[in-house]
Amino acid sequence: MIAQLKYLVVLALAIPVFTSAQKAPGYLGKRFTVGYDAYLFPSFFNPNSPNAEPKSDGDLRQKGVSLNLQHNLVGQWSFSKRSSVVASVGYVNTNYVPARYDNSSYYGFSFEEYPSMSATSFAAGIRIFTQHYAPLGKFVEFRLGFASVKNDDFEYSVLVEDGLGVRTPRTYSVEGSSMTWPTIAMAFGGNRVINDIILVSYGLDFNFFPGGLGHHVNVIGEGYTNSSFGESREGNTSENQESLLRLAGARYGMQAAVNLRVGIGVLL
Amino acid sequence: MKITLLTFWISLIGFCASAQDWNYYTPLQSKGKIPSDFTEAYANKYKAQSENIESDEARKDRKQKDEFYQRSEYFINEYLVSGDVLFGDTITQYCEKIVDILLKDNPTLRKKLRVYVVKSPIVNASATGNGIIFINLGLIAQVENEAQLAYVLAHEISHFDENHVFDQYVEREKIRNGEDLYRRTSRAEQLQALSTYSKSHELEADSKGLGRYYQNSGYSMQAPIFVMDVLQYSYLPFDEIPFDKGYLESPHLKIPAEYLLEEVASITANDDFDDSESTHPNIKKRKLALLDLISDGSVGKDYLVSKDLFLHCQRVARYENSRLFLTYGNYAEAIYNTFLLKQKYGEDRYQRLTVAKALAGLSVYRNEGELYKTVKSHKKIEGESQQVYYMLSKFNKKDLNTFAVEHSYRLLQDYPDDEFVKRIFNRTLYDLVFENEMRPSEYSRKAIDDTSDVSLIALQDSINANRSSKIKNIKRKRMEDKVVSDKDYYLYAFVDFWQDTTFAYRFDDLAEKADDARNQRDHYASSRGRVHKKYDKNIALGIDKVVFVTPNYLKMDERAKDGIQYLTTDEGLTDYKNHIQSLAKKVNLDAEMLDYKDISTNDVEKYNDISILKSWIEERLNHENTDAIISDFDYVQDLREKYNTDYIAYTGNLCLRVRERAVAGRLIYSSIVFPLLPFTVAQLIIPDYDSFNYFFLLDLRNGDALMAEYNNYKTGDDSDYMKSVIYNYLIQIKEQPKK
Repeated sequence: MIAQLKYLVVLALAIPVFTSAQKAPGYLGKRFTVGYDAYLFPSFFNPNSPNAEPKSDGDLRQKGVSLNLQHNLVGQWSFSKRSSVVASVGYVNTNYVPARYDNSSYYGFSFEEYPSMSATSFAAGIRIFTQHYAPLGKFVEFRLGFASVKNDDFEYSVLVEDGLGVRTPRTYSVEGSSMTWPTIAMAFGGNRVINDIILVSYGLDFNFFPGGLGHHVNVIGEGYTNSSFGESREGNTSENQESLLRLAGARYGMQAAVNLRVGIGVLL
Repeated sequence: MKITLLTFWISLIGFCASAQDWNYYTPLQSKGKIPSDFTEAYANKYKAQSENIESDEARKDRKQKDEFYQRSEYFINEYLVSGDVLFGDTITQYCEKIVDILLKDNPTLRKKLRVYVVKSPIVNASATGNGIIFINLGLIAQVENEAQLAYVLAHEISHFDENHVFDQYVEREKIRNGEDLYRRTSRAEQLQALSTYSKSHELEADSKGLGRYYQNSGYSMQAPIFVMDVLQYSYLPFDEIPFDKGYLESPHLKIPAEYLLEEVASITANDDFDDSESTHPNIKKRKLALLDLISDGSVGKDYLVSKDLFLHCQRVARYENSRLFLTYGNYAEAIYNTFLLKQKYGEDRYQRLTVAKALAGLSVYRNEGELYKTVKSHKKIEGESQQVYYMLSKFNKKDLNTFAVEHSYRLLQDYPDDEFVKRIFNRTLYDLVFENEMRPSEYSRKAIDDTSDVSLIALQDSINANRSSKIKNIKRKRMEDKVVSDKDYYLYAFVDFWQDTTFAYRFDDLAEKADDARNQRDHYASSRGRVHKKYDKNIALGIDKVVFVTPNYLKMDERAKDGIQYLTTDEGLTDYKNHIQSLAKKVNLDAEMLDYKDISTNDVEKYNDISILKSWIEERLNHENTDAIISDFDYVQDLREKYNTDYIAYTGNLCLRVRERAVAGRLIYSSIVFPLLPFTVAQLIIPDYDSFNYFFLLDLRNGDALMAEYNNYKTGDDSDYMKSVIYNYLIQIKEQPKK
């Protein structure tokens, strides 16, 4: 799968470059830009801090509003008057909701910190400029890529009942793991140039990451997940590891789904 | 005043001493120091005018005056720098002298007035609110004497003195806003009201111009009445002489009788026309009003300055009009006007060259099947000139092209070293061979009245007397085919030229090249197929120097009462030119800017250069995709050497801020599909534009458009957008083509 994906990405980059037979003006002759893009979106139902409240049983879906943030390093090269190839490397470091909390199997389920996760992505594609010469003005962008999601170890406790019916908390630690899935993205945006050297970028980015699909907590609407965090009383089992990873994947998928993009770059 | 008089008479003596060489007539040019009307920036003019607004006036009046100055100064400024306005030339000086006479008792008013002549064949004169009187060459060409011209000037002076321009503006605003008497009036009533108001001003200018300035000047009191006749027939050429088809004919090239009308349309101009929707009263009313005032029967002179000078100016105006008709692509008018010049002044090289240019232009349009673009329907024309329109509409491709070749070669025979004549001949012959695929063998070597062919048929008949009917008939038919029919009358055009080896060699040479080209083209077409240009592809021209001629800039706001953003337009133009200059440096392109708005008082030579180049560009652009010779080509040759380049660029930008459409509907829709609401709000907040940028790179040698780019874009004119667009033009010019 990954090998096929790499082939696709290389193809996406190579085709426009090798088929380019025309002179591209770029912006005053500058055709290459590098920059930083922040992908931002309000988070209503997902935590962005390990200490977000509440984190014990009960309805844990109301996390308060926070800000999703994904960092991106973006490079683009204008290969024709109206198009650029673009490549970006993204990084997210955030937290996710580990379980469905109204499940009786989680009785006494609690944790000190939301489990943390990170995602690293790479994508490449093409930008079509609709009004001015690349890399200026409004554009539509298509990207293909992949994202690798990694969740860290997660510590929690549940109440365990002994033979006398006494419940005592028992602490477990589930080991983190990682997974990689392809991504497909579409974006609408615009570039402006300040002082012939600074590139300011803005727009909307839509990214589809299928990893963890079906386990998500929605971005805007009140989320509901039928995913449960395995069997809490069994601790560090492979099922629990997988279950947490899928929840982390779902968290990344939701964060990447729609973003406002604000960026700054340099024309080279 | 004495110095002015002395200067005038010195220049008059100069004019008499160095009489115009009409054979080599050159376009009218401005002379002397450039008046401040041309050099002062628009913003300064507007500021100077707006400072005259009294602070104790009502706020509404102040605002109205401010808007008027902003608007009128802008348009006057644009008109002054259009390239059509002359200063310091003989005709302008002559008109100034007449104004001196009219206002000899009113020096204060005289100081406020400036007269400029406008290169336009339309019979018209106008006055502005800031004291400029524009006199068109068309008027000079048609008035019968100096006194008539003086009366027109007196009329215009009166418009200025009575502040009619501002008053009309105020009235128009009232009508538009439905104020005072115009409340609840229909559109038709409003137009009627404006027309009535304008006519009252015209009658006032007639009477006050006569009473205040003209009556005591010493000019003839008949002239004001007679000039009304001139105005009545002003839509006709400067004379009405039946067109003699012999004007275009030669001994072996006769125009068929069916190409001419038996009778031309009669002139319908009526002095009592319905003027209910006109800005001017009809001629009858104006005459009657004047007659009431001229009842004292006082007699004056037709000329107070100089009859010779008047006749000279009139001849110049008429010659210039022929050139103007050519540049407008009005070839029929050019031919008839030049025909009149011959009747009036005798024939010269300039006239023949003008007709050669007109025929060459007509031939190109005819070859491309677009004659209708340049020759109006004869049904719309009255008077003797209708004959020319009708005749031109009857020509087909081959005979018109043949006429063009014949005319230009006959001219070349008389002026064998004339490069300009040679160029027209070469071009028309090229078209004859390549466009019409005519070959030397198709043209007769014998004159049309040569009976040898007929004799040959008789001889053939006698030889074949004993042959079978079939053979006899075939041989006779083939022989008859050789005898040219009426529709092929033009095949005798070059009978006189075959003895001339230059003509025969040139024709044969082109025919050979055309045959070779056709063979190669066929081969290419079969082996390679059609070549498609890539979408949006850049080109590389490898040009080192370009002259930019009068870049244009316009900022408009659809939402504003008066669409044009006058002050920001001026600033936008300055930025646009600066971007061109700075980016040209960046790509190492030598870009020289020729713009009226950058010239100083002593730059009259540059002013004239711009005027010629601008006229050349306008004519070239009027031809659009038709590959016609630019009639002013002979006047730009010196400029190619002077500016050391063959390439000129003509560019401009329109930035239009548009109104948001269907705001309520979009909000309601977004409220229903609420996730769209933020986007709708953002769309409504972000300004919408519908802008346009163009760039032409033209080759002065042949009028080729090396670049003709149009860019529509939906953004404003921020510097990054503008620079990006301009840079793309400039690198295409500079970049070396691949070998």
